[in-house]
Amino acid sequence: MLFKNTIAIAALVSASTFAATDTQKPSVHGAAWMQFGRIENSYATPGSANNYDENWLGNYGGLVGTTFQVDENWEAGLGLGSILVHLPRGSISSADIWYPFWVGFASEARLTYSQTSYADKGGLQLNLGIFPYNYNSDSKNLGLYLLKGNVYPGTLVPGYADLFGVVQSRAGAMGRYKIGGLTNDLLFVVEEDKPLYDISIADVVTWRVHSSFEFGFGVNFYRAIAADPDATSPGTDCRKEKLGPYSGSGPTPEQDNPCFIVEKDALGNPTDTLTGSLAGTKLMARFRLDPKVWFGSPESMGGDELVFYGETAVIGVKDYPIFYTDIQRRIPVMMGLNLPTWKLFNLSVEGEFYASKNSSDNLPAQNGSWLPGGTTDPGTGRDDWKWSVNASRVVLGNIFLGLQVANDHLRLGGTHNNATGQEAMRTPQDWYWAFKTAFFF
Amino acid sequence: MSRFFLIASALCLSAVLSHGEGIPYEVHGQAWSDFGRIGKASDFLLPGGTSDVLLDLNGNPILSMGAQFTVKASLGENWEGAFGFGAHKISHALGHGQKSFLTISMFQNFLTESRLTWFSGEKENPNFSITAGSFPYKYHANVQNLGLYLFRGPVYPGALMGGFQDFAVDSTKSTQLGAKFHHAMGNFSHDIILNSERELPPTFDWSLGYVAKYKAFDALEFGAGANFYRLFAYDKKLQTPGKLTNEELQFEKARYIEVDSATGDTVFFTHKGIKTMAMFSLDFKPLFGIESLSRDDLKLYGEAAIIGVQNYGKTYGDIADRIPVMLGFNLPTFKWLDHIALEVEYYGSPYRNDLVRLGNNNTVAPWTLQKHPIPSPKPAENADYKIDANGNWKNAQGDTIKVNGTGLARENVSVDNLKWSLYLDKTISNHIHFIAQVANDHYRPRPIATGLIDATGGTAEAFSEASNWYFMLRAGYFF
Repeated sequence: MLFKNTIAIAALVSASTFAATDTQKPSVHGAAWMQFGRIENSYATPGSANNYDENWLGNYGGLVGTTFQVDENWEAGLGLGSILVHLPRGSISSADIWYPFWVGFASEARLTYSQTSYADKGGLQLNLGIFPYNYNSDSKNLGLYLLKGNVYPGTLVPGYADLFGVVQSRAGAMGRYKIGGLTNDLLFVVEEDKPLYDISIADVVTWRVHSSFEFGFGVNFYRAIAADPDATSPGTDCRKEKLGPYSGSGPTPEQDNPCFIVEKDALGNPTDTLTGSLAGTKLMARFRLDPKVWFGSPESMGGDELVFYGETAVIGVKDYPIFYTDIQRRIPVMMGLNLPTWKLFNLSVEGEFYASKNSSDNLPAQNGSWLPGGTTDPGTGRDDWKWSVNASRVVLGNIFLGLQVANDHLRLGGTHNNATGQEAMRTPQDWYWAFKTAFFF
Repeated sequence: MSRFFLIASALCLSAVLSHGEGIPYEVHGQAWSDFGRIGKASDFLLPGGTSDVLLDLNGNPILSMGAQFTVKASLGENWEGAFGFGAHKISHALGHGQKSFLTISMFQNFLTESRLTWFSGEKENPNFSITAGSFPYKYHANVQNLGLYLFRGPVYPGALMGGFQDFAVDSTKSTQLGAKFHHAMGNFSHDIILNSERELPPTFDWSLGYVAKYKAFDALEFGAGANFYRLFAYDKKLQTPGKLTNEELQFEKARYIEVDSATGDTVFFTHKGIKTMAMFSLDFKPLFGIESLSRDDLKLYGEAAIIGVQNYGKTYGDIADRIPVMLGFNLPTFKWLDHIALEVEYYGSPYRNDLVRLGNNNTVAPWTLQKHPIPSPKPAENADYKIDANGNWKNAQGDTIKVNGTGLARENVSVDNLKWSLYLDKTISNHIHFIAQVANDHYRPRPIATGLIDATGGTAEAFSEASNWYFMLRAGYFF
């Protein structure tokens, strides 16, 4: 389910809107899609209801959007959509408790102010509301670590598109300053994962040094401003009952609380209580290399073919005892390559290495625990590598066809009454495929 | 109902067919982002009695965003059709502790309009029109927050409704489902509204309203109206539940009746009732020949209503307790802003402004009568509290409780009588709209996520003392 390309449709729609809009005349655009696929192999804890092996995946949706150029400086965009999703069927024991539901959403609801001649010469642009934001447009699935996922625990989530293949939008505000090949984005992001409404402050710099080479870096002070400090940074008075119902019982039998770390001596007697926080600092660096430029950008190849790209991040610069002791285990690295197809279609491969030994389960974090969840993974280290192959093509100008085969950070949320934040792909043997067809205008 | 819509559909189809192809239409839209925070809320409702489960709204952020489209089509020389839809984000009240993690945010869909209108005269200002379907209706254009009593809220109990940018104060969002007959003659205009109750249980009753207005000297507008609320019942048994047997109710019907201990007479409470309303708006600018201010500056406006003209037993024994009065004044902005509107309201009801007694068990019509449909001075979930010899409300475990504006704090039943709202807005470039509001009004936080909707959120007002307040900011655009 997860094409980033997929929802790149929405971005396409948005981009074309920018170009076509006349002053005082709203332009209407839309997209509709059908996506289906199958999990071919997924590790399941023996006896678990959340057995996704050979489960079919699918969702269907549509969205309508407008862009409205109010005057030479102000522009506004709104988009509304609805998507049909369903719980995964899981094991045979759970498969009969299955139901689809329609979910409405706003893909954007933004006000944008741009300095005069911004499009030609750069300058300042301000965005307010819900707006799509993507600092690494090459990423199809893996990467985009800076603004997605928790810091403690450092669980990763898929990239540009979310679980349902809808463009990932940000709520908050962004100021962008662009001069020459240099772009700086300052973001105030309202977090919509629980605990709700914390504000993260991030800055992303992109420098296009040459038409063949671009790099960028950024920092995210995740949850820097807490809506409820007690929820974001539970103190020593925290009890499990104070956190959400899925906060878990602690990462290990020895650490059987989700609120804080208890240090113990050799005899197992508590010596200290260490509090922490869901808040933390992420760092990111990325690059984009287009070697075609060195050979005169041959017309027989598409604009993105042969582009080599990568991204790395530090998911939390601060160490904590026991679970976050080694910063190297908090550094995911991804690389991607757009393979040559001579304009037949878009084809890319992406790979990722992330050596974290903590559970991939982000459900405790969404219930207030900054400690990793307890793990039922088959073994540590076996899920360090992720990969994704994406192919897509736009035909007849407005029809999108796409295919993704991957072992990535797909999370299905669990079956009925069996909520989980664990990844569906947890061993090297796990993989799934998904196909998407869409039209846009 | 289905017949009604079939007729509306047939009318629409015939209008389209008679007009042929190439129907001219306009697309309108809005998008907005809201941010706010509760500054002070005095009441902690204690559904479980421990500090972890109380609903403490102090400092709670309020965030939302939304967008809508509406298409208006000219279906013929005298016909117009409109439909539109939108979605806005809603969240449960956060509270503190574990409750905040139970919060669910989701987009809620709504119809902006779904109507067919036949009109005579100018489309924008017809001398006669008939509208069928779902449509907006705001009879008092000046109101920014408080007021609009005639078509907002039930009669018995006389709960008032509102809050920041409530749909009723936005003339682009439908609040009525049924039909409207409009007639205008010079400075006089009047409307008949037939409305199906679609929000408050028991749903699908029909109400009949009438509003007449007159504008004099380009400065004074006054009007009056009546609403025969739930005049036609979908199910009369649900409308006067005290006449049902205990077996039919599945609990004591004493909750729906009041017996006079002196005479032995029984009063049967009913959801049905009559509201009356009077309103005015006085623009001082033309009176003093002032032309340099914004269009709505220096307007004084007000509204009063009787929420139920009939007395019932002791619970509704004094009509003075059922008369809300509001006054508003648009301060001069010298064209820096569109409005600085200060509104105040007095409502002497001794009961908490809570809808929980209307009954709700997560079912649709015929609505399950789950709790008290008629208000008593206590929130329904605190029914086990009784007054002890010292005048304190205690339960069997010895816990005490105090909920201002109710009989659970008898000395303070009037502390929520006064409401106020300060509203500022500014439109730039004709399409971009900024709003700021500070208020102590009828805002109801959505329920905390405990299952059923109850007085711990969603049905009760957040503010119960004059010192309570919150602020909201909105940035949006429209076209």
